[in-house]
Amino acid sequence: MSKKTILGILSLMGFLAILPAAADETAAKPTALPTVENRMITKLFNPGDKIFSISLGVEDPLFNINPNNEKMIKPKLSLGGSAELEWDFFVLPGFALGGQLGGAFNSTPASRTLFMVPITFKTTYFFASLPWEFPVGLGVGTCIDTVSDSTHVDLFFKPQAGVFYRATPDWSFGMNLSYWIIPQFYSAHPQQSRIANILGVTLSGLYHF
Amino acid sequence: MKKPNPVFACLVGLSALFLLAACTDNGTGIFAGIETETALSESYIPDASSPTGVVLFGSNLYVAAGNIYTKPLEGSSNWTVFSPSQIYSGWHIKKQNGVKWYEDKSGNVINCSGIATDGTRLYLEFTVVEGNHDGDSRGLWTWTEGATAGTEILDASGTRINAQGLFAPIKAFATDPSAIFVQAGVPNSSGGFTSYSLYQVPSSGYALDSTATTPALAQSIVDVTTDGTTYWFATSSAVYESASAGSLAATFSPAPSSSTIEGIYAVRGTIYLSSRDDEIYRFTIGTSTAWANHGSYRQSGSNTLPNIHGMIAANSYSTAVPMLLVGSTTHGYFEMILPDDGAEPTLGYLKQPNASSPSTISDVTNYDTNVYNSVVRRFYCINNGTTTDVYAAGIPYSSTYGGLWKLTAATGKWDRE
Repeated sequence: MSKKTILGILSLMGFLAILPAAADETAAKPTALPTVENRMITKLFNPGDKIFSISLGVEDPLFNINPNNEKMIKPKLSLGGSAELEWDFFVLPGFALGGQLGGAFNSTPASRTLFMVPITFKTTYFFASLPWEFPVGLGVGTCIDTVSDSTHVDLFFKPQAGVFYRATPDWSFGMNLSYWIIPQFYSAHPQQSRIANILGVTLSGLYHF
Repeated sequence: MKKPNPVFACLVGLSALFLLAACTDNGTGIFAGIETETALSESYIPDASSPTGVVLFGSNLYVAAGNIYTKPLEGSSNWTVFSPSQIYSGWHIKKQNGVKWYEDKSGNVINCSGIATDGTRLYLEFTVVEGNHDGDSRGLWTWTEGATAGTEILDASGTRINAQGLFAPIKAFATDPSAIFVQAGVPNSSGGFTSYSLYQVPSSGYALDSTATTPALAQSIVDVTTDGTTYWFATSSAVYESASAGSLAATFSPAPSSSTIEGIYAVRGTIYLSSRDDEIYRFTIGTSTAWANHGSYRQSGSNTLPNIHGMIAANSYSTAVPMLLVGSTTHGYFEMILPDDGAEPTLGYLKQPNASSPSTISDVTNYDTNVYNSVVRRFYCINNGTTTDVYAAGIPYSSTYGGLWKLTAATGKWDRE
């Protein structure tokens, strides 16, 4: 992967990070409370509202980048499974801060299992055209990676976007598409450093409270 | 009291995680290591087996793993199941659903549970694992390469023995055993054994020497070692010292405190005991007055040892640093660097094999994807004429492989047999 591509990814992440600054301008502000199943939706992403979500899905390791020579390398990992729990707290209209705890696993060619546990601090902006909701967010945190006896704690970046349908006043269901960037650096063995790039897709349920 | 800001709390939490998180860095990156992985080789010796012996006899390797498996030392031929009819005409290979086992004419299932060689004859221990346990298809047999029949070795009165262990102690870094011992059990009415006797196996003739039998032992011998002159025989709670099996009554003093001895190994003037109480005991011959333990040999960076099985001395990959290999009951094995003078190891920790330091291996990922996946029960050394390869016998558990693994000395890499 070239430096330009890396810069592009970082720019996208930067854009997502500053997106909340425009929250007041773009957040859904319905003038009348909409209804679902003849019940009024009262939780409309206003400050003080909260969301808890649970997600299950798959993730596909796309490629690794060797930062020493900037070459892309096949990661040799199978399609894996993932699960996530997330809590968000709206601090501005449409804009939430929160955290996400995840877990994922992939098989290796020798039938080992790679476990990844990402723990992220997350900013999310919810575009809404009820009953449709479109969260876009960026998670930044750490990922605990383990295979056999080796464990390494790495940085973790996860831009994410989704589409949800407010099925009831309290629940939305939909899917998320995410891109995991895991820079794994070894100061004592720099030739072993890699930046993992993983695509994730999850089905999620959001509980508004 | 002021309510904590949730954003601040999240940031503090993340920072704490970074500070507290520990990395286990064995010199190979997780993602970088996986890039170099290859699929495990197909195994010919079944993963569900637990080999009890590996020997080089003539130009062929032989493995006792329920069945006897054999292949030429040289070349790329695969393992084949040795036909038991070459030992006894009434025995044959039974095959069902791709699984092969030995049976006698009466349908009793026979296991080869021990194998040893003195270079002239192959010694084979057979037990009946299903069927008539007291029948003819058991005991100690000997066979020479190319022979169409084996010969049973009986006790001095001409009676078949209940062979319960075949031991061929080899002096550390040497090739051939200086003696071979067989343990016989005295059966009780409940199918077990009331006591055990140890015999030295004769290098010629077919009768065990009655004068070489030991006084009956209440516990079975689990392992034997030698420094080339003296033998040390370990039961689960005691060590016996003798120049021969005949004077085995001489209990080694002081007694180790462990009652769960798994293995014994003498190397460079020191006897090492491995035990299931998470300890290695150490005794310097002629110097020590007590067994040393209590953490001296615990794994570096850890407060506990894995339970331990077999031990063996082997040189490290690419250099001539002598290592003691200790099998673990969790994953793979550990290494200990042995000083030339037999003194307390200065790098006296058991450590995981690591390609970046004196080690038996050259590639951590290769180790992690091979023998690491096995619980190592015993090690065996085979000199291939140039270097000495190490074989590790695994025990199958629910999440680990049994079968046989080979460390090729020339490459420092493990593979599945």
